[in-house]
Amino acid sequence: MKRKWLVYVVCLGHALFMLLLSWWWLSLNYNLELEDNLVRWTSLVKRILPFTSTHDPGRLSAYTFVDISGARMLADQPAGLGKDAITDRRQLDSLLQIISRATPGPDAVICDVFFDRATDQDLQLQKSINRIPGIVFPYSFGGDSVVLPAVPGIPSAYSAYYSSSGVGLKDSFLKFHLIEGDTMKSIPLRTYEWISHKQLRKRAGLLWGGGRPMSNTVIPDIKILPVELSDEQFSRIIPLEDLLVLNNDEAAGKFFSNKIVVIGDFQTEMHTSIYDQIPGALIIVNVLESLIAGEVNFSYLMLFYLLACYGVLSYLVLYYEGGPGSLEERITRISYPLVGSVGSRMLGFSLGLYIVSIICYFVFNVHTDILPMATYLSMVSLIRRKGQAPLRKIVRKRRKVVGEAVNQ
Amino acid sequence: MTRYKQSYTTVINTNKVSKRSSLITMIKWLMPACLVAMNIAAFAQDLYICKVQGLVNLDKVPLKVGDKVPLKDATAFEFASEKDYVVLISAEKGRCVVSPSQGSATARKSSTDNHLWLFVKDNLVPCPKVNSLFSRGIEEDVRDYLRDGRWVMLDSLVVPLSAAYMNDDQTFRISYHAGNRDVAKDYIPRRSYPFLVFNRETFTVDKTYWDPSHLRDISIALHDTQFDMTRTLINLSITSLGSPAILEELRALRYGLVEYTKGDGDRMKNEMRSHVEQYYGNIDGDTLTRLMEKLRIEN
Repeated sequence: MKRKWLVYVVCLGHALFMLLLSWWWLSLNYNLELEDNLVRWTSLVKRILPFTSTHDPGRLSAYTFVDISGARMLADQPAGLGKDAITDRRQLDSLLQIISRATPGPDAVICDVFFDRATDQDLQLQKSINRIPGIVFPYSFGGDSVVLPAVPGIPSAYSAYYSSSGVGLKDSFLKFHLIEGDTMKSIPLRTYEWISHKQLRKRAGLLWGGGRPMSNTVIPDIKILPVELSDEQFSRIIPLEDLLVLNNDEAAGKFFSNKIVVIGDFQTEMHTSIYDQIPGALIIVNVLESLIAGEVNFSYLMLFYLLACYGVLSYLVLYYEGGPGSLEERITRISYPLVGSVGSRMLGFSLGLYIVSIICYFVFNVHTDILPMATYLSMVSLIRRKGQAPLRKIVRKRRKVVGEAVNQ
Repeated sequence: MTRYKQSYTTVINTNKVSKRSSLITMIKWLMPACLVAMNIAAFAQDLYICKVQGLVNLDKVPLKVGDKVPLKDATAFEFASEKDYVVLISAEKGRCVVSPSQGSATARKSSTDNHLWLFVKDNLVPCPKVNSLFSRGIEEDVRDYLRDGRWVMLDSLVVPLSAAYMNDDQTFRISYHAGNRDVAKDYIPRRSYPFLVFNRETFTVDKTYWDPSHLRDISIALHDTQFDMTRTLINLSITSLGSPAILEELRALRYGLVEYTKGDGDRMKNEMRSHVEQYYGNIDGDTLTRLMEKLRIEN
């Protein structure tokens, strides 16, 4: 009885350790190709199936997408290296003035334009920006210091699109950190805070302050794909020039009132995602959509589910003994000659974790890892087997001796 | 009187049934009515003109930027020529173009002044179109990719195209001057394989292969079969790296690079790329990899 109690405690402890391992892996900036494929296919299947899909095409009408790729001006390159094309500050300023005059005003304005160079028009631009509540511009992080926009005193938030990295891996966007480091809030989070009137803080890898805690690292569903920005008749992307040439505040105001305005380069600033090429501004929108839909909220039921699954796997790895004629023995008899003991363990655990991960995603909308966990479990299983090898030899010898004695 | 009483009684007795049936009838009529109303509402938004190319009239009045256009079934634009177009934007739906050259429905031609009439509602074309293989248009894509037109090829040169811009009426025409004659070859791009490929076959005329380095006036044009129009996109100068003299030179260069870079593959590739691009033309990543492999094997 005491032993059984101990088994439960050990399995629970190991499951907790696995959960932490899984959490740590999710918070890293890189992922493996196997995970890319799992995320891609589960997301696509979930999107297609009518009873699992959370896709709402009507959400597009909450946004106005303004393309600034055609609004360019020439600026001197540093150190007299000729001219370079940058975003036309005058045109952007005119647009921001129109937005500031819209009544009622926009819900939020995401301006995915990084000002890396100071120009003569910056003072005027700064004034226009500060007239719009809920506007946000990107800043970046240069490894050891923050690179702020060249236009001073404007509201800004951290911007980065994490890609896979490492040996032999695809370079594609998958994960997104809502707060980088301890305090660098990302653009979608800053906008979400503005819309929902909440203030979130990071503690122990989770975001607190808005009801249920949220996961800081998310693998967002791409709810709005680039192809969905146009239907058979209309394109949702409005070039900046079009809004300026209207020269009609009443007409232009309709584009911004009670909308989330997304200003960005939808033509050339493309990022590789696990689905396809996607404009950077649209990545921000998709993360924001996940936040609004509450998909990054931490679920205690999910925690219980993962603990239960990892507990079962822990028991299988640490205590399970397949007797003669058991299912395990039958499987190993087929798989060992084909892929070896390590390979068959890896495949077995991967399959189990695949099922756990797919259910977790479909029910709780959270992707969990496969390969590192399967590798870890295989290693533990192998170590346990090696540790038991002398004991098995003794058992086998005893059986032999007993058998011979019975025969005699 | 008796008959009236009977019928009255019947009505009273079937009151519940008649109520239910009237409700069903109401739903039957209301549902399509709601759908029609929703459809009308979807198109009842304000459409503003933000660009007019050429002369375009609505009810005999020339359209100008900032005009509000009612989008009804009968709204038709009158275009002075086929190249004219109008760009419309709506806060609810987005941006679109109406043009006789892009519309899905055929334009009606006026017999008196050759003006073209288009029903607006049937000819809205989304613009700009964002798709997975993001592109501004097939012409821009080809021009952007081929840059200054100086290219090298080992056995092929592959130009990626956007599948979203494939038009069944458009073909690519590659033309060049070989041995006192002008040669033109048409390539029909396919959605399933959105690439324009120049290979040995492209430069073979009457079973004779012409080294592209020795050809004159190589150009790519976009040919519209519907209007029988051809627009030259870019003039090309292609150098074949397969010629023995160039290969010999590159082999010697690679030999030197092995020592210079101490066998660092990436540095060798970069050095080789800069040499090839300086003296022969642009080289794509795949061709560079295959070139390095070829030189390595032959060493």
